[in-house]
Amino acid sequence: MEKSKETILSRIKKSKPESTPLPEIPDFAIPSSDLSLLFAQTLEKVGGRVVHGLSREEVGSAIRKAFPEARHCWSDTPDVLESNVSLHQGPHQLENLDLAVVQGEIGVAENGAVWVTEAALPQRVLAFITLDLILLLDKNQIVWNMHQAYQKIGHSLPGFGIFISGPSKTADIEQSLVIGAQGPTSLTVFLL
Amino acid sequence: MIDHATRAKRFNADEKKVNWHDETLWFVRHKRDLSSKGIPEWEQLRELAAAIKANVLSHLDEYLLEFEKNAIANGIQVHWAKNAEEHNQIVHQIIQKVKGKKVVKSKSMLTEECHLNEYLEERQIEVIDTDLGERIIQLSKEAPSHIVMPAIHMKKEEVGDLFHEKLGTPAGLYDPQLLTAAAREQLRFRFLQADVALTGVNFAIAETGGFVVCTNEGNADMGVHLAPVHIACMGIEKLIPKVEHLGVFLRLLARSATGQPITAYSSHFRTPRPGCEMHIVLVDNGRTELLGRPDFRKSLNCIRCGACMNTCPIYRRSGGHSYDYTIPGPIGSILSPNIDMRKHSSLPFASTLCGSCSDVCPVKIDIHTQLYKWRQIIAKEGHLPASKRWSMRMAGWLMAHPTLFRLSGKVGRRILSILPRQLVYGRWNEWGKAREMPPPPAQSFHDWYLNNRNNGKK
Ligand code: SF4
Repeated sequence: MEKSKETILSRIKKSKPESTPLPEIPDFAIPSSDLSLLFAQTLEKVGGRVVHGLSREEVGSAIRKAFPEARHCWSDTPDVLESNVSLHQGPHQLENLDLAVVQGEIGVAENGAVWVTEAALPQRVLAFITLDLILLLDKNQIVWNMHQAYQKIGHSLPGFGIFISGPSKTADIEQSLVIGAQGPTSLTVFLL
Repeated sequence: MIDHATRAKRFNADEKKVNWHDETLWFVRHKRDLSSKGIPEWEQLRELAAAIKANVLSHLDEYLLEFEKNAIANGIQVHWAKNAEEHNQIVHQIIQKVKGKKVVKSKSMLTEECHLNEYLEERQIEVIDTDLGERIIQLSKEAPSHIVMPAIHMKKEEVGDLFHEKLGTPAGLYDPQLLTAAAREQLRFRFLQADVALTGVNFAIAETGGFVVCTNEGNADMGVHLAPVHIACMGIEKLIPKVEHLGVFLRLLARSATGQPITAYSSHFRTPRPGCEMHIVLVDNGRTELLGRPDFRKSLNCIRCGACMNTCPIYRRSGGHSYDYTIPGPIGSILSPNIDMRKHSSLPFASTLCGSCSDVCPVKIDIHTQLYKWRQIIAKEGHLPASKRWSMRMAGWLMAHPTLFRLSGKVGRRILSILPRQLVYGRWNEWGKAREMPPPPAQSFHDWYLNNRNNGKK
């Protein structure tokens, strides 16, 4: 509706207030304690699990031990876990996915969020349709706050990127917290 | 026309439930306090957010054009809608073009505002709300009573009975965990079947032509990454200039809403999936008019966190439905008169003007000042209810005549102490309905002042 565009823009021109400047976002203070510890504490508070101190090989067996019943698994890091599902037939094929192992890029200690992009999600739905989600994160990639996270991400966002903080949850019935709403029923982050 | 007080009375019929509603929302407000106090720069973040929004409003046309250009370069199709009707038409046309029959939708207050569901259903398109709270009220055929917790007016027994009737869960199943699991199973099926997925937009970024959607359930992502077509609907005020501004807003949003440090999912969309479609509908529907009202334009800052509702003593005790507007509570009471002043004329009066809403608002909207200003306009335009109109006129006249005013005070004080209770607490006394009147003072302030000043002189 090309005409509506013109109408809306001309109404704005007529009504908008005088120009005000954009503020500078200052550098806020950063806690001096170990960020990976703070990250773990926050993520655990929102229902996630954090495991640290394991080597890549150990992570693989830890996963198999923690999810012995997982039959359909996807992973882009074969040294940690072998994939046994194919992504070629589109996202709907992932209907019965039990476990996905996905590489995260940045961790944010203030809110326990992990930045994941489509570079690690050849099907975007992987991180949501799976019953249990595992994220791998380099502990040197943990920052304190969201401002630092966006500085690292830069101005060019990926086609799809997401901050994931904890498993899927809802409190829509009487405000009582239920883990595992429409997405994964658990989130485990391995700090490497 | 039924006003807010009358509808509030209906909600108040069930006292136990009102108390529960009140306490539950206050608890959410408390969680917000704990969460915000954990951030030393909280007040600075609010200042920043307000300043960014002020800049956005002062350059909105330019940012919209920048956003459109970048979105198109990303492969997104951009549509413009003057009003709700056009918005609904555009969405319907996109669905028709791909011969879609089944739509899944994540939470979007804008589509509620435009009554999109009804519009599509009349055209034989099935729309399924996938946020659990929204799904509950869709099944019970109600409107959301809160923008973050749409079904907060319902107890788990009501949800259980509803699910039993509509989803076939066992009778008497009231456990939130099990009810959620039942809904999850049914919604899974809907996600897999959908032709089109609809979402709202929390923030759209001019410099990237992308947008951000926040959920806790992951329902927006389940929808859009399965269906071949994604339609995102947004009010034009949702724009922010740069990626770095997301840092400010994402730190404020969830903490203000529920006390969480961030929502479980903050999804950043910039390009469609290979071979798939992504559409954005930019909607005005009264927003440019609001922009043209200098006293009220700041309400366009709103990021829909719901904090002003949770803190409001009126909202907590009257329930979202008493506002009879898509956005209830304090913010709804200043947005709605811009849409239809006559219909919503009682809403700016549904406030004690305590100012708690303005104190918690993460984008620093002067909500209670705007409520007060709307009252003046509503009175001037002649939309006051008759009772208020006459009592105000009487009071005005009395105050303009000091001798009469003093006399009536004297008479009043005397009479109040001797009148029978039934007369004082008669039908006309709104204030005395649920409260005791204060005992009449022995003397007026005027008399007290004269006495004391004289004493001082002695
Ligand atoms: S007015 Fe402020 S407090 Fe109320 S919903 Fe909007 S942003 Fe939140």
